[in-house]
Parts: sequence; C-alpha cells; structure tokens
Amino acid sequence: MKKLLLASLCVLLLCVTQVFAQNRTVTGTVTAKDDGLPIPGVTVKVKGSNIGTQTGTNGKYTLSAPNGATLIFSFIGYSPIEKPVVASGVINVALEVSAKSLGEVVVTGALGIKRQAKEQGAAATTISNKTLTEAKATNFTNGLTAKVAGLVVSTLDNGVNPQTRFTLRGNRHILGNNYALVVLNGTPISPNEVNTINPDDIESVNVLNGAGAAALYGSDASNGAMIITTRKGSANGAPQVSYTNTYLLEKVAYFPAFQTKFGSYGGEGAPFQDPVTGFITTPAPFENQSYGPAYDGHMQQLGIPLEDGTIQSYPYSTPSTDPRRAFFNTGHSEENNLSYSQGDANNSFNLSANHLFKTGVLPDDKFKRSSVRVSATKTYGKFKADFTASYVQSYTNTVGNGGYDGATLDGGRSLYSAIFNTPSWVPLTKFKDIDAPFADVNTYFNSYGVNPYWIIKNDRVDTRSDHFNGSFGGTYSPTNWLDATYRLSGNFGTAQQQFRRSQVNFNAYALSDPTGGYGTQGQGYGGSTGIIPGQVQNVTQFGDGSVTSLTGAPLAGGPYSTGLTGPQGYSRLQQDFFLTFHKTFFSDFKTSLLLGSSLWQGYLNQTTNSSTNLLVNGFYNIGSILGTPTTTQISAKIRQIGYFGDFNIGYKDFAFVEATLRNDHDSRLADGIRSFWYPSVKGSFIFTEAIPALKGNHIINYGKLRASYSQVGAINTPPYSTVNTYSPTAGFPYGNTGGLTLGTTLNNAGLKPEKTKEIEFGADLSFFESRINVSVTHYKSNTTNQTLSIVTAPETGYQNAVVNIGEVQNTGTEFKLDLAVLTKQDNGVGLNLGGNLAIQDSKVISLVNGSPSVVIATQGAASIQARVGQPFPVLYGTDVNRDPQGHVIVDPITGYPSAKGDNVNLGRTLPKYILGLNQTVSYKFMTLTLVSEFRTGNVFYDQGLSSATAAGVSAFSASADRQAFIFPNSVIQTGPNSFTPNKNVTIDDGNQGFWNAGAYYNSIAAYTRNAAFWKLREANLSFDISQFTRSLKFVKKASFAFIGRNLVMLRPKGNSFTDPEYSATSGNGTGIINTYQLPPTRFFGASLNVTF
Amino acid sequence: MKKYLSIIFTVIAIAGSSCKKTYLGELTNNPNVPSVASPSLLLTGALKTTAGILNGALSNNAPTLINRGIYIEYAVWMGYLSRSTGFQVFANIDQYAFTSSDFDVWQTLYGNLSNYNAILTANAGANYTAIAKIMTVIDYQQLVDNYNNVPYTQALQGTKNLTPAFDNGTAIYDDLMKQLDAAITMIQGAPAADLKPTVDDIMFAGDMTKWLKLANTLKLKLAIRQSNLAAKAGALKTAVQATSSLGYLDAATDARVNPGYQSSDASGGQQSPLYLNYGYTQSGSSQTNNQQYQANQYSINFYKNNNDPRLTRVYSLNKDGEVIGSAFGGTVTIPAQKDPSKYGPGVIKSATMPAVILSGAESLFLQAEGAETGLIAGDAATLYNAGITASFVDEGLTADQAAAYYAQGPIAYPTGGTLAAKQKAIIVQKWAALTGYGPLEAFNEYRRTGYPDNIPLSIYPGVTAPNQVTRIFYPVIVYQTNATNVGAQGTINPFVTKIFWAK
Repeated sequence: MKKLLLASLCVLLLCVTQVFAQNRTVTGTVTAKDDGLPIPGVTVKVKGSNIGTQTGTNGKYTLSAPNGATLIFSFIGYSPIEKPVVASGVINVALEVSAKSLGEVVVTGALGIKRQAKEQGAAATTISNKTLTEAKATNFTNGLTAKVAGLVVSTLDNGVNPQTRFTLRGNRHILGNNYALVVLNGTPISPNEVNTINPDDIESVNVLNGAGAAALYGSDASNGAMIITTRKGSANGAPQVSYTNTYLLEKVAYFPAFQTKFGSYGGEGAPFQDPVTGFITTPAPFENQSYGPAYDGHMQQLGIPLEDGTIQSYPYSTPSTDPRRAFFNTGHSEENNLSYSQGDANNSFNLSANHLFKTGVLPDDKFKRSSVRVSATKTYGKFKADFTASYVQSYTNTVGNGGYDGATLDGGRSLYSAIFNTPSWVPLTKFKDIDAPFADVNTYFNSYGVNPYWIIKNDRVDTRSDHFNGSFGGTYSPTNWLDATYRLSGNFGTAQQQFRRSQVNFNAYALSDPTGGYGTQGQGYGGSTGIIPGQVQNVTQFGDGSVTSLTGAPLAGGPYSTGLTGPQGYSRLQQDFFLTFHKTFFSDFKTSLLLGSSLWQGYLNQTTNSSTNLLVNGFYNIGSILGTPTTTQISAKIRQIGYFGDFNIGYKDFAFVEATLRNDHDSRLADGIRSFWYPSVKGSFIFTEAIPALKGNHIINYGKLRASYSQVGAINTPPYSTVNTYSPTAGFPYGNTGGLTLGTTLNNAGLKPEKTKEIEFGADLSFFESRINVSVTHYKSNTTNQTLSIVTAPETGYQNAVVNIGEVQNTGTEFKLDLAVLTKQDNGVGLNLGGNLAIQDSKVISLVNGSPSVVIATQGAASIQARVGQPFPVLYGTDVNRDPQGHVIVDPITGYPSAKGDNVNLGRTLPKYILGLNQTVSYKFMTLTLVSEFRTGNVFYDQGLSSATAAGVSAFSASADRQAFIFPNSVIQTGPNSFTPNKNVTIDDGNQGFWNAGAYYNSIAAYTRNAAFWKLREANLSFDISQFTRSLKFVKKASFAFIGRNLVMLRPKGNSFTDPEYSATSGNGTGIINTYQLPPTRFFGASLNVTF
Repeated sequence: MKKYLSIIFTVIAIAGSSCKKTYLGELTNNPNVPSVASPSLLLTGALKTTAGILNGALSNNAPTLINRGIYIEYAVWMGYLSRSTGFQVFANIDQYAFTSSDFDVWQTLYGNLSNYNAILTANAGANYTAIAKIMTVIDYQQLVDNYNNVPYTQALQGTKNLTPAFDNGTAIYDDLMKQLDAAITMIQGAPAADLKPTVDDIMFAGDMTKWLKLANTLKLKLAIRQSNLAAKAGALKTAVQATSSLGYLDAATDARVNPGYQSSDASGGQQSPLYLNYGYTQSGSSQTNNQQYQANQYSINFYKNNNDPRLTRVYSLNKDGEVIGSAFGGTVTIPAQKDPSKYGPGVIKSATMPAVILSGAESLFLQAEGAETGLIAGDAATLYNAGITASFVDEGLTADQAAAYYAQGPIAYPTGGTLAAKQKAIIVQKWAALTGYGPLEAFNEYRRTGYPDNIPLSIYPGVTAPNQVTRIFYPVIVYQTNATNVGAQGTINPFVTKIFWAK
C-alpha cells in the first residue's frame, strides 16, 4: 500500500525528458531486495541531467540515456543506487530498504494521515511488520516489547491468552486509564481488543510517545498512541499468496525456589514435638504446611487411612523431580496464517486468515483463535474508497479460581497455591485420577486443601469471544487543493463466559473425623449433608468482546479491570469527517489546514446470572437450580462529539510548524460544562537542510531538532458520575418486598476533565550516510484535575466523594541508537546493533488537602499508593523496626525483630530505566536476531512468596535451616540512637515460630523484592531458503526460522520466585504479584513461510 | 473556489447541527441503579440493614469482614462463643491485640443513619418521620455505647461538612430522649390522612401503636443505661414517667424485622442475619462463623450448673449427643479432641426467622429493673419471671419449664435481697436471654453493672489483661478522614477508657 501511495504521489512530479542524438534505450526492472517484488514509481534519472522517468506498476522502466551516463534509481524509503549504462541496455536493479533515512520515512499519524517523518515535531517510532512478527508472538503487544523507547509492555500473567499492559512514558493518571491509545486503521479501539489482532495482518505500527503527537485524537490521547495500519494489498498486479506455519513449545522456565529438605507439619497439637529439644520429630500425615522434620527417607504414612484401613506410605524425601514441578505440562501452540493479496495502481485487495491453537502449561488449558480480515481500496478518478473488516473468534478454556472451600463462587484459593501447599515428598502426580482412593475428596491426604487435579477437572471457565472490527471510508478530491474524507468505523464484540464448579459429595467416612480430632475437608465444608452443590455463573457482555469485572463479581481467572471507566469493555462506533486544504504560497511555504468533526459512542451491556445451588450434579444451567439465581444487568453508554483543526506550515522542506486545536463535548460531564478545549503546537527544523554548509556533509547527513507543547483533556470517570444513586439493599428483593439504600459515594455534578500539559524537545541525527542514527527526546508533563474518589469520613453520611484534585508530573528522557556496523555487502556479512533507553520518572505534586495518599490497590497489608512527593505508584507496607542504616533491630533477649507501627515506603513499582537492545547478524542467507530488555529501578511485593512461606515450602522459609539462628545483619539497640551489631542473640525457633508467625513473617517488607530483570525476549535464526526453492517456479520466496521467546531471564539474587513483570492487576496498581500468576515460561519452536 | 466553499460550509453546518443537545444530555441518568428512591423503599432497606447490624451479618457479599460478624468480639468476651479449636486463634479477640483496624461498626452505622436521614429530609409525613427518628435513636445509641463521643449535631451533611465535630455521649443521650419524645408526639398527633407505612414497614407492618411502644421502651433503655449518673436521675425519671402509660414491648409485642427472609444464597444471602452468620447455607454447608466459632465453656457451665434446659437449645449437640465447648482463648475443647458444639436450634432457629431488634425478654428485664428502682410502676419479680419465660419460649421451651427453672433457689428473684442482688439477678438472666442477637447489649449491661461478674478473661498463653475490655478504639478510617476531631478525644485505652455511663 505504501508503495502504491508513494507511486501516486510521485506522478504529480514533473519529469522532463530530453532527447540526445547519441542516446540509447535502456530498460529494466526495479525490485525490492527484501521481498524480490517489483516496485512501481521508482524515479530513474540520468546523473547530472534532467532526463528521468518512473517505473510502472510492474516495476519496469524504459529510458533513453546517453552512452557512458550513470543512472540513479531512487525511491522513498530505499537507498538510492547508481548504475552505469551498459552495452546490453538492460539494467535490473534491486533496491534495499533504508529504514535509517529518518527524514524520508513516511508515517501514519492521527486520523490515518500520512506524513514524512521530518515534519513530525514529536517523538515517534515506526515498527514494521517484520520487526513485529520476528519471534511469532501470538499477540501484537508482545511483539512490540523492547522495541520502542518509552513503551513498556508487561505481560501480566502467562496463561494461554496472556494479558498485557502497555504504557508510554509511565502513568499520568492516578485512578484513570494509563494505557496507550490504540488506533486501528484510523479509529481507536479498546486495549482489550489489541491482542485479538492477527500480528501478521499489521503492516506497520507508528508509536507516538507523547500526548502532543496524538492531540488530534482528543480526550483519548493523553497517554500517547500506537497507530496500527493493516495490510491493504500489493500494487504490482500479480496475485501473491503467503503461507506461514509456526509451531512453538512452552515450558515452565523458572520454577519458584522451594525447599526440599523438610516435610509435613503445621503446628497441630503436641505429639510431634520432642519434649527435650523442642524439635519436631514426627511428620503430620494430613498437613498442608511443610514445617516438619528433615527428610530421612523412611517410609511414611500419608494422609488418613481408607475406610477399610488401607494406608498409603511413601519415602519421606523429595523425589529427584519435584512433584510440584511435574504437575506442569509442556504447552503447544500451532499457528497457521494464509494471506492473499493483489492490486494495481488504482485497486488493492488483501485477504488473510489465521488460526491459532494453543495449550498451556496447566493441564487442560486451551486457547483457540480464528481470524479473517479483508481489505480493499479502489480509486475512481477523484474518488477513493477503502474498506477493511475483520472477524475474530476466540475460545478459552481455563481452570477457575480455586477449590470447594467456602460458600463463595471462587473458593478463594488459587490452583497455584493448592499445588505448592503440597509438601515436596508427596507424589502429587499420582493423584491424577480424582476418583481413585487417596485422590478423591474423601481421602485426599490434605486436610486443609483440595487435590489440584480436582480443581483442574471441576473448576472451569469457558469464554467465547466474537469480535468485529471494520471501517469504511472515502476521500473525494474535487480539486488539487482540497480533500474531503468521511469514515465510519466500528469495533464491537460479544463475550460469553461460563464459570462452572462441580458438586462435591463427601461420604460419611469423611464427615466423621478419621484424623482423630484435626478435622477433614469433609468436616469443614460438608456441613450436615456432605454435599456442596455445583455452581455456575454465566456472563454475557456486548462490548469489546471481553468480560469486564464490574462489581467485584467473582469472575474466575484474570486480574480485575477498571470497571466502567473504560476504555476496556466498551464497543465503539465512530464517524469522522474532515476536510484538508493544501496550498503552497510563494513557492516555499507549503501549508495545509484540516478541519473536521468526530462523533463516537461507546457502549457496554453486561448481564450475569449465577447460582451456588445447582440441582443436578454436572448440569450447568441457570434454569435448573434450587432457590433463586443472582442476576445483574449493567449497561453504560458514552458519547462524545469533537471538532478539531490542524494547521501545518512548512518552509523550504526544512522548517515545519503544526498547530492543532480540539473541542470535545462529552456525555460524562454535566449539562453546561461538558465542553472543553485543548491546543497543541509542534515544530521541527532540519538544520542539515537549512544550513548550506552542512549540505552533503559526510559526517552528519541528517539532523532535525524538534519541540512540542500540548494540552490534552481526559475524562477518567465512569459514565453517570454526576448524579447520586440508590441501590437495592443487600439481599433484596425478598419476594414482593423491595428495599433501596442510598449510594455510599457522593457523586459530583461539577466534574471536569483531567488535563495533561506536556512539553518535549528532541533531536534526530544521522551520521556517516545513515550508518549511525541517534534520537534523543526529553519531556515533562503535568496532569492536573485528577479525578479521584476520595475517602470521606463515614460520619458525613458517605464513604466516598468524587472530586477533581491533585497533580502528577512525569519527566523522562528517551534515547534511540541504531548502528549499521557492517552493511550487507557482497561478502554477505551484515551486523546491525540497535538500542533504546528510556528513563521515566514521576512525582505526585499534590493530592487532596490533608490527605497524603490515595490507595490504588491492596493485597493484605500491602498497598499501592499515590503519595505526595513520591513517584507514582509506590508500594507501602509494614516493616520491622530498623536502625538508620536499615539493619533490623532485634530484641536483646529473644532475638526477634519487632513490628514497626506505621507503614513504610518500600519503593516505586514502575521501572525507572528501561533498556531494549537488538542485534542482527546476517551471513548470506542466514540472519540471527536477538532482542533483549533490561528494566530496573523498581520493586514488587511477592504475595506468592508470602503464601509459600506460610506453607513452609519456599526456600526462603528454610533459609535458617529451621534451626536457632541469629537474624542476619541485625543490631541491638543500646541507647536512644545507638545500636551494636547482634553477634550472639539467637532466635530459638527457626521453624514455624519465626517463619509462620511474628513481626517479620507478617511484614510486607520481608517479601518485597527488587523487580529488576534482564530478559532475552526474542531470538530468531532465520534462513532465506528462496535460492533452494527457485527451481519451483511457483514459489517466489521461502524462509525458515528457529524461534525462541523469553529464553533467558536474569534476576537479582533476592528474587528467586517469580517474574517481576507480572501483576495481579491490569490496572494502575502495578507492583503486587500473587498466586494467580503461573511460573514464568519460555517458548521455542520453528516457523516456515512460503510466498507464492 | 466559491462553489467548493459553499459545499464545505453546508457540509460543516449539517455535521454540526445534526447533534441535538439531548444527544449527550440524555445519558446523564444512570440506567443501572435508580437516581430517586421513595421513603417507603428506603425504610424497608434501612430496617433490614439495622437488623443485619444488630444480628451480626449484613451480607455474605460484604466486601470486608467489618460487615460480617459484627459484635462477634463481644459474643466471645461475654462468654457466649469461643474461637473454633480447628482454627488458629484470632489475635485481635483472643489476645486482646485489637487495634483501630478492628471491629469497625462506625461506617456501617453512619451508613444506615444516612438512609434514615434521607427519610427525614424527604418530609414524607409524621409517621415516616417519627419512624426514622426512632430508628435513628437505635443507631446513635449503638454508636455512643461503642465509642462514647461521636459526631451528632454536625454529622450526615455530606460535603457541607467533611469533618464533623464530635458531641459528648451524654449530650447525645439527652437529645435522643428528646427525639423519642418528639417521635411519640408526632405519631400521636399525626392527621388520619397522613401517609402510613404498610408492608414496607417490615418490623410492625404499619402498626403505629407498636412503634409508640418501641419508642417508649427505648426511652426506658436510655434512662436505665444512665443509672450510674445520680445527677441525671431526676430528669430521667420525669422523662420516663411522662410517657409510661404508652406501655412497653413484651413477649407478645416485641421488635423483630422480617422482610421475608428465605433460605437462599442468592443476592449475597437472603437468610435471617443471625442464621446467615452462624448457620448453614441453603445446601447445608456451614456458614463462615459456624466454622470459626463454637460454644464457650463459660456459658455451658452456666446452663449446666443451673439445670437450665436452654443448654441444648442455645448450643447444638455434637455427633456424640453432647454439648462440647472450649474456654475463651483455649486451643482445645473441654475435654480435648472432642467434636465441638455450635449455636443451636434455640438461637439459629431457621433461615427464615425474624431478626430481633429488641426482644420481649430484654424489654421485660428493663421493666423489672425500672420497677425495682422506681422509674416505672410494676412488680419487679413478676416482670423478672416474665422475662425468663419469654426467653424460654423464644428458644423453643415452655412456660412450665421456665417456671420450674425460676422456682430454683439460686434463680428465683431475690425479693427480700439488696438492690445489688436484685440487679445482679436481673442482669444475669438478661445476659442469658441475650444469647445470639444481643452481644452488644450484654457487653453494655456488663460495663454498666459488672454482671455477670465471673466471666473469665482469655486463657491464651501469655495474655495479660487487667480486666475486661472497657471499650474498642475509634476506627482507623476516622483517624484518616477526621483526624483533628477524633484526635481531640484523646488517647483511647481499651482497658481503662470508659463510656460515660459505665460503672
């Protein structure tokens, strides 16, 4: 498409051909070196003359040139090539992509308008399809990771359909949405929809880091934007078919560090304790904690006897393969992608189909995704129409949240914690048959937990999503100074989710107490009947094809989302209309003016029904239950009308200024105050063009300075936040009796949008014929009027009030460096090194008067907060008392640390330094690409480690070898401000007494870890096997690649438990990892691509 | 050029005018929850919430434990329940290691008050207003009894006053008495045409005579609670006697709420709150507090030592047919390794039982004390026996069993004894009658009178409490949101600081 468009642009150029007597006719074909396809519209000129022509749609040209002349072949985006006219008169040329000629690159900006990069006054990065899909990430955002300065993509968990969080320049909004705006073919889509796009369909992504770059998108764009353009078909006339098959394996790569030395005991009663030493001597056979005696290999009874008295015994030692690790499978994924494209100068057509099938590392987890996309363009004289539509259907079947303990739907405990609540000597994989003796609910060894295989089988979530995305538009150019464009686009989907948990039947034996006084699961949860009925929850949502967790509904699996604030969850229907005027004055001043309006509606409708009393075991239908179902219905609608103008002026191709102004009217604000304005101004200056002395300079061949100032308003509030409401009182209705309760939130009719003011400066420089490219950007943004739901004193009658107050400042610097160390010459060796570095800092300038913090998320005593004077967000939590140097103060007699009264700041939870590196080495037909990323400067709270320490299974819990020990690096207080190192006061109980109780165990600081990591994100060794398939005439191109993702992860010593990139939430409360994120995995496999 | 310009402006004009004002404005009101509520629906909702607070459970869906097992600490401290021996002890109850983060009933009560306040401000006529006033008294009395000084005159004003000042508990009590008098006057003077609640009144079904009796009983309760304050005695006596002719609640007319409780787990649990808290789910699984709490040995001993047949009504029989409990703070049953008893069929009668706001027995014991101290007319011994009978009958026993019980020497009303002995008899029997719904009232009466005077402190190893808890802390939310005013209340010592009426 790009080539086609450029070609048509070039038609406008005047080419004068002169004829000389001694001329000869030269012909040939110009092709692209990367794909071997012909390029139309290439300028072919005789050096030092005005003679020239252009290639046609088939890449062919004919030119009359003097003997001995030199031809120059040039095309935007490709390195020009000079060739002497040869006797044969045939000169075929293969042009090589020059991604590095920074100023020449054409990028797609706001509203799908294409611009040359040199006109851009703000930081932007364009990522091609090749870079995006190199390692065959199954979702688009994973393919972007580490490739754009300032973009942080975090995989929140690694289930079969992983969720990602992607932000540009950090978090600007305290409670509002911080996801980068995603624009697909000119229209914003929900962040949840992004990963349903088939990455192979994407032609390019233009990442606009700042608020200013995307100011035209209005109130959605304060977080920067990713402009995605999908493929539209080729322009060379010949049909092209491309097929790719990718097969990947997924394996658990980093299992948490567990101790393998001590077995079962959890503190029940006295019999296990040696009366003299106090040490535990006998394991507790039905225990879920591992605070027991050291392994000695004796045959030990496990669990309770069967009703007939049979017992099971196993060696009291950890098997060579940790049974908990053996629980995890190898996941498989197979992806097939088929695309067809055809086109000519006036028409293009692209059709692609993709199917992905994936199984996860958890038994039975499955994900399927099928997508088709069709795109077409057609030009009729002054009118040009384009159309693109995609349909995606996905199906996910994963394990639900937990077991059968408790009356709530989700059981409250994750599968992962059920797995590691298994002492290491227990041969977990022997209990796969959940109906077999010792594995069934009645006789499973664990009195306090559920057989994880039971959860796998009986606790399931099925989600089917259907997505439609499409846009239809046309441009009418009645004259050479005006274009009128109209576009109608929509993206919407439905999600249908069913959570199921089967009935549990305890027998009389389990309801009695075979443990002799300690209780069984049957006793705890069986109640009087021994039956826990099955449960079902159905959620249907019309919106963006995902399920939004709204009112704390117990949706299984993933992290909770942002509720009704959006943009997650909403469908979107949008209409854009704009006029573009362009005119050149005095031959040097090129101007354009865009005036337009945009109107969109977001809509979401969710209905749920659930019951915890299914009538028939294994029959999951809300119609067959006891009692009444719990039902909810929530719908939300947002409408916005925007008017905007964009004025551009360029002087002599080296100075550019752009000014924009937008006015939005939004239904989420109250009558009379729902209109708001915001301007932006940007400029760029190409000094290598402007200063004659620099022209043709061999050291610096391109240099641009840029600056931008912008204001963007953002509404970060759910709809209907301006009126107070009443809700049905809990428990109602009772038959015909209804009751209402006043809402606990005091809504605000005076709500205003949040306002981000951003200023940025930068430079883009190329040296040594673009072999070295450098880009630097510095920015500062201040976001005021933060929409906060503040906690009010309950005695006011309300628990919360919605206010506009507070300010967050973000500052940072972004660097990009690209080095073509060895360009691919005739010796066939190429080496390219690239890197990007972002330094992101933030500071909460102010919050509500008198309140130093706003809590974003909590997990136990840990909270993620916005705090005045601190970066946002920060982790706060409990700690033990420390001396000024940070040494733990212990009691001079017992050796125990003591709890600090108030919560402490444990550190920022977003990385401050993000470094992405990529290396490409090529030799002849082989290319090795490596992408790695380093992030540092932040911490996270590992609730999983805390949970595993409570269970006595973490290596951390055995770090004192379960012996009496001196708390490492501790001090004893000797005076008000004096401390001496503790050399001899020991903690007597290095077992459960310390690791499962007390101030240190209960503190958050004990499980807070440095979140730094270095990851080899992608490794790709590809072989261009076209030369071997040349004999097959119908194969134009073929390649084969070995692929690896997340092959290596290096972490600081203290974190031996999980991947610090994970998060328990997809919202702003980053920094907490709990037991719902599985162990980190790595992917490896191969991919084959054939183009016909 | 002109041609194009005219087309352009026509198109822009069309694009601009196609959006009517209502296109955005029509999305103001929330389609998911109503933006208006009638006093009638508010009353039903608020009464159900009050019942949930007093009976310890608002909903299974309650976001935090603060709405689950409200006042459970008092049930343990007053010897009704113990932590289940199958669970780790709760440090905040068993080791008295509670902080301002524990036992918060502040948010719930002010939330409930906000709803009664909405009825008051709706001006729905004398009857609704009077009912809202009476229920406001019940909530504020709970606030004072838990926290002593609390915001009253400046409370419930939304953003108009984000940091309401605190009023003295004693002044609030004085005003509550006036509010009750005002409510009584309003009901008595209500025009016949005035709107009267019907089925929306899930307590008395619109029977305003019963509301008068409740208001009058509350007056008596306020007066008796202040019995230690000699300076107020005269005024209180005048106030009580002014309306004594209205009568009081009794076994036949007591204050219970029932919106139509049913055995259903839907909508966060539709069971009667005490049952939702200590009973079983629709399918028979144990509810959370049924799992976590069991019979307290003090209570078991009380019933056993007094040949009290309520033993097997208050507590369930275990699988061996015994009533087994554990001591407060104990980690083993007595004797050890026995299957423990939970609340029994006399307390958690059924999932559909009405939730008690003020029982007949409680009112009768109030009257007995009032008669004994001369606040009201009547025979204390008769009222005392009637109170015991009401408790027996309420728990599924008979009047004859009650008569046999109070015929026993140690139980019989000490007609010839000292005032202290009489008060002790009344309060101890009141304590027995309050099992289940009334842990707060039992704790209040204990703090006022010191009876029952032999409830043991926690036996958890290492626990050293000087005496029973005298009060809980102000909740942490108040320190966060209204710091200056709560700070002015000084340091709270939960073993020393007393409510103004305490002994």
